[in-house]
Parts: sequence; C-alpha cells; structure tokens
Amino acid sequence: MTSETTQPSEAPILVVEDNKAIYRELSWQGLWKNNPGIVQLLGLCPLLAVTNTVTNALGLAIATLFVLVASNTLVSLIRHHIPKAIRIPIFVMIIAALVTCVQLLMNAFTYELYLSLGIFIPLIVTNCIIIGRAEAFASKNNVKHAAFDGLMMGMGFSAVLFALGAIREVLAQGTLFDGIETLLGEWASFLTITLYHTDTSFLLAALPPGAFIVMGVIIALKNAIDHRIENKK
Amino acid sequence: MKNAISRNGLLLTAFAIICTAAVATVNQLTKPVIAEQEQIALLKTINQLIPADAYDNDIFSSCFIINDDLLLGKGQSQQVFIATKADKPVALMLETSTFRGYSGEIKLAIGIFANGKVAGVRVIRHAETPGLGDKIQTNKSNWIYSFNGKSYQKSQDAHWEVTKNGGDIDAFTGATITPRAVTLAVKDALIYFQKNSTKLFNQAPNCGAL
Repeated sequence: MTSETTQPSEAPILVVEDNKAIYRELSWQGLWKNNPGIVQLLGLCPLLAVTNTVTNALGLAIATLFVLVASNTLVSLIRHHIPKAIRIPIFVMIIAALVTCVQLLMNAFTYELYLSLGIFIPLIVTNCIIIGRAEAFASKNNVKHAAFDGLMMGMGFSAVLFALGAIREVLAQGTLFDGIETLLGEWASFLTITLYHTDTSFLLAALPPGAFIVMGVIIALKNAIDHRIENKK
Repeated sequence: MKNAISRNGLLLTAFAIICTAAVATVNQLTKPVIAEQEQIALLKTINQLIPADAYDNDIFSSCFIINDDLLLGKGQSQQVFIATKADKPVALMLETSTFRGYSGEIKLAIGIFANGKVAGVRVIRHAETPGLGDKIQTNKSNWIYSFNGKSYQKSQDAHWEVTKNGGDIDAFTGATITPRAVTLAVKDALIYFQKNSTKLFNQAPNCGAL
C-alpha cells in the first residue's frame, strides 16, 4: 500500500542551486518565454472573449491571477498527502471551489463588473493554465516557488489580456479604460481616456474575429523579437 | 489494494467536504452583500425611470410578479414595482422580455406613469452585437430616451414601429432588428398596462423577501 500511495521524492523541474536564479527563471518563463497566453496558448476562450475593453480584460486577469496563485499554493501544500491516483480530481475540486469563491466575492464587491464578465468567471475553472500549472509545477515544488510560479504565470496571462484589451478597445471605440469605475470604484473614472470619437465603432475589432487577428499579430511580434535576439547572439 | 481504494475514497470524500464547506462559508458571508448590491442596482434603475421625489412609499415592498406570454415575453415571470404618493398611484415599473432581437433575450425595465405615458425605458440585460445593437444601452447612445413621454393608443398602433416599417421611432444606424425588438416590447408592455392598469395598481405585493 505504501509504495503505491506515497509520492516519490521531490522532483523539481528546475535544478538551479541559487535561490535567486530560481525566481528569475520563474519570472522569465511566466512573463515571456513560456507565457501562457501567447506561447502555451492556454485559456484562449476567455482570453479572446472578454478582451473587448481594458476593464473587462483586467477584471478577468485579476480573477485568474488570484485563482492561479491560490490553487498553486494549496496544491503545493498538500502535495505530500495525496496519492498519485486521485491527484487530478482533488486538483479539480480545489480549483472549482476557489473559482466559486472568487465568483461570489466578485458578485458581492464588484457587482457591475461581475455582470459584464458574466459567464467567463465560472469558466476560469476550465482554463487549462490553472490545472496545467497545478499538475506540472505546483505538485512537484515547494510552496514558495509554486506561489511565485502562479504569480508569474498569472502576470504573463494578465499582460496578454491587457495588451489585447487595450488594442481592441482603441481600434473599436477609440477609448481606453472605458468603464474602469466598475472595477476600481468611482475614483478611478478619471483614467478613462477618449482618443478619438466615433459614432460607428470599428466592429471587426470589437467582435471575436478581431480578437483572433490581434492575437495573431501579438504572437508574430513576440516571435519576431525572439528571432532578433537569437540572431544577435 | 482494497485498502488503497478505501483510503483514496476517504481522502476524496474529505476533500469534497472541505471544499464544499469553504464554498458554503463564502456563500453565507457574501449572500447579504450580494442581495444588497442587487437591490441597489434595482433601485438605481427604478430611480432613473421614476424620480425619487415623485413617490413616497417603500417601493421594494410593493413588488409583485406578473406574466403574460403574449405581451411580456413567453414563459417569463416579470417583477412590477408600484410607486405611490400619499397612497395615490403615481407610476409603476415593470420588467419585460423580448426574444425578437438579434441574439437571445432582451430584458427591459419600463416605467409607466399612471396616465399611461412612458416615464422611461432601460435595458437590464441583452446580448446584442457590441458596436451595433448595444446602442440600446444608455452609456452608448441616447436612443432609448426617445420613448420618454410617449403613450399608446389603439388608433395609432402603426406608429409604434421603426421608421423603416412606417412607424415613428427612428432606428439607429447599422441596426434595425434590435431597436425594432425594443420598440415592439415597449408597445406590448403599454398594451398590457392599458388592459390591466386598475388591477396592477391594486395588486397585493407577493415577491416575498426582497
């Protein structure tokens, strides 16, 4: 029984001696090299669906980031106590419970944003980044590293959401941070910038096809930058 | 083997219990806040339609439920709120749904003065095309205000249409289906109000705790 149920000894993916180097590597992986949004292409459904304005994108980004850090932390905390055979259902339960809590909290404290994000909050459950990081990283590393990995992966995802949201909002309606007060409260309404005024918005950018196109451009840009760095070496 | 199965089973049960307990706790803690938020949002809508100083009753406790498959959306239960001043009916706000829009349900709140005039119309929720149909929202366009002060007479039935179909209501550029759906929904609600106005203003509240 014991041989079957206890976890094999710690098997970190990153064999780096220096502690600082680990954090640097984790940041690099999450924010750029292995960015969940534009490299791993995980969680595309919410990514493309809610990035029509910066406010929506930020709302989902914050919710996802929180769930990711919390789920990585919890999974890492219990990693020695759960048998391999049932780890996935347990991860799923933890993630589902966390997302439901976030959903309830957003419903209570950011009511209008909750209404505008709607179905995409519960859909964080199905975002592959979260179960992916739980399985690939958090279940094999200590709590500090797992939490930091969640933070960095979440920030990487958030950055992509933000960029997509900003580009699409400017193209579609000529504004930035429109409706931000639903996320941060009334004081933040000064952030709303109107770059140009239009009566008929540029529909393509506002609708899902525009999301795909902008996403493609961002990925191409990232690859071009990588290529350039490669060539310089 | 048997041991392993029962151990796994127990562990899964334990996790299920812990997770459910966590969700239940958060639910309990946020429930009053959510109810309060919903009420604030609703009151905001009501007061956009019926000025707060026009009535003096506790508008939430005047709530009751109506339904009318033909005029207020098939299979939908709609809330009605009655505004009175010194026990005289001033206006009411009723919800209505229409499925004649471009995608799914459009839910509206319509304020109607006791004399049958429209106090105002607001969209509670919709899934119309962003950039086109969403001009029915007040933050995108002033279009929805064009109903203010209008009323319905049977002899003028044809006027309650978008201009494209020979009516009085201007549709906005780029979309006809959405404004038409809203126009017809407002018209149907006004017809419902005319048919039932005495009954509506004398209805006992039955929304329960709200």
